[in-house]
Amino acid sequence: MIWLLAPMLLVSTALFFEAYRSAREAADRAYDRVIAASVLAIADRVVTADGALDVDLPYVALEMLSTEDDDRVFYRVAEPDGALVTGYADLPPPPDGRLPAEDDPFFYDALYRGDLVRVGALTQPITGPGASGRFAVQVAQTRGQRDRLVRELATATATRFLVLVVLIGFATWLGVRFGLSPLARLRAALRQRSPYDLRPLDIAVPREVREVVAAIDDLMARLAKTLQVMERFISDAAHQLRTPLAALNTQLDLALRERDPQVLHESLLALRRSTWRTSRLARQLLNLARSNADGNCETDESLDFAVLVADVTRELVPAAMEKDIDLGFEQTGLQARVCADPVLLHELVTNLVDNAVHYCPPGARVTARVCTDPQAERVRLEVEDNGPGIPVAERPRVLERFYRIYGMNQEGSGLGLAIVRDVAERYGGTVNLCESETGGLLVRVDLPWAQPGQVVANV
Amino acid sequence: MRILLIEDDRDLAEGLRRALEQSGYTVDWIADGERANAVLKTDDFDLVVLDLGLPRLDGLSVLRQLRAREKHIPVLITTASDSVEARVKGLDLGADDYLGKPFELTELEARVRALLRRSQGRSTGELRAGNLLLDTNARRASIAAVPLDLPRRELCLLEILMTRMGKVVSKEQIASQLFSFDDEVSPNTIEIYVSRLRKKLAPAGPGIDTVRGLGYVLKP
Repeated sequence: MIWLLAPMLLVSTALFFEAYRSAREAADRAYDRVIAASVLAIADRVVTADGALDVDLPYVALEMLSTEDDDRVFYRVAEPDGALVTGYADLPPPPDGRLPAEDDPFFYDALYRGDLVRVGALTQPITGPGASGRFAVQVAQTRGQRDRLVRELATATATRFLVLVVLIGFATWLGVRFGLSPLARLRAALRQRSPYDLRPLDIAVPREVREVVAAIDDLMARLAKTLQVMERFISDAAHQLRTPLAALNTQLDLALRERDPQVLHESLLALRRSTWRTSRLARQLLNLARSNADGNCETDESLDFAVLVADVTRELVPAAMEKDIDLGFEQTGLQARVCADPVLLHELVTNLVDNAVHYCPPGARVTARVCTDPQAERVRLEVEDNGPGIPVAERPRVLERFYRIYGMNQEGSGLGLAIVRDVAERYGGTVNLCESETGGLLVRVDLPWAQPGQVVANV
Repeated sequence: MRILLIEDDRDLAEGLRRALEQSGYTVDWIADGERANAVLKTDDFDLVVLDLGLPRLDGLSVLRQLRAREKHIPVLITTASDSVEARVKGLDLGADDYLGKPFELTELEARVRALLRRSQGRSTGELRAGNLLLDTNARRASIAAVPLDLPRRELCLLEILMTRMGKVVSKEQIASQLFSFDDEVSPNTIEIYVSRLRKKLAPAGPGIDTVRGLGYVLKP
């Protein structure tokens, strides 16, 4: 509102001064015409007699200048040399001091006897034998009536401007209020809403606001989806944590009742195993939440995938040796550069290699292989084993959260491969399970190949 | 008292099994729904502790099929789901009680005792036969206030006989309640337990008569 009224007032003031100036000009033009008539009437009566100028002053010429405001009138008729013929000798000359040799009257403002006066002046050549030069006629009139006219005109104009400003202001206020009322309704609707109500806004709004509402609705829809995923995750997590917690509770109660130190020790060992399992489940749930978190890519960095896979493989060698499993690492192709969160990638690789080591019988062979295919711009990780494999029917299901193959995974949480898939998909990658040449399992993870230093937007 | 524990989490199942055995029950543990269903068709149990999230056949299906066979074994559901619908559904399908995970071991034990009592038509945990008193909660027996020293199986045998006082209990019934699948049981084993118990009850307590070819009966 203030941004509307301030410039309007400024423009009004400027227009007012312009109007004042033109009112003054109009008044001058009107009254100057009367003065001009008076000057011409006097000049008409100037005669040459015996080489000297004489004037028979027509009283009507002065009479026509009389006004209601008792404006005073002065006149002066002068010889070419400036000598006074009749009138007021000290009537001021034009500002440049000289009366021009023109046949048309001209006008100027001057100060005479303490009053501002408007002076009309005319020079005319002296007619008659032996005469030369131009005589001058000046008629001056005080500005009383003119100023009153200007004042009246200016006041009328100013009043009109003022009324206009007030009217426009009111109309603007009404318009803004009426125009913004859908926004006020929108605001009220948004304020009243429960934070859990993410349905689209059902509000009639003008076309200008419709796109804003559509954008809000779109945001709500995306929020609802995120919330739904989170709620499912929280309920899954709570559900999955309850059983190990029940086991911990039971083992703890049993241990507290135990008097036999040997049995007590065994209870504590079981308790430690359950605690380890529970904390691993908690860690996996957190990683799953992290790989599902949208948008947060602050921790992403460009890294050499082969180095990471080699590191993970090295970490798992002791576990493999304990089971007499031949665990190896291979790399082919260019440098396997990917852009991702190293913690999540570490979890992905660990889950795959650890699974292979865990489910393969002693004496089996597990290979982690990294290869790059620059044409396809993909970095590929293959974890291959010659273990029991996974039946075709089970393959899609093992990627689901909390799915465990019956009889195979008593210790597992059913989250390992779900994390692998979620992390891969977070970085625009894919996971495929197939049979290896030796009849075991071959897990293939493809990730987008990243330029060094390149930050890949989340997919 | 023989309890079938159906639970797919090994750590929890082992803990519960140990706890229930310490309480004097005979416990069989099964980790998947299909096997549990098969076992419930062939064997008799006094109580079933049933987890709902089971591989191969879910707990509610096991319960539905059990009740469809008109078996009135008390069923205590334990589950990780805390939704009211799951509880209502479980109870509607004929479960006798419901315990959400994680639970306190003592609460599970108390509910098991209460369910067993109710199924035997008792309102307290005490069984009486003359001057013989068996406190099934504390797992203690006494004759005329003199405590009896009974090991787990003997106490369990006494409970079986006392809950069917005056009726003939067959060796097979005793065997099925006293031993789990894993135990090697011969008819002689039952006789040994009965004679040991008989000696401990004599002379002040009630006697156990042998009914030839049929089994045993505890005289009031």
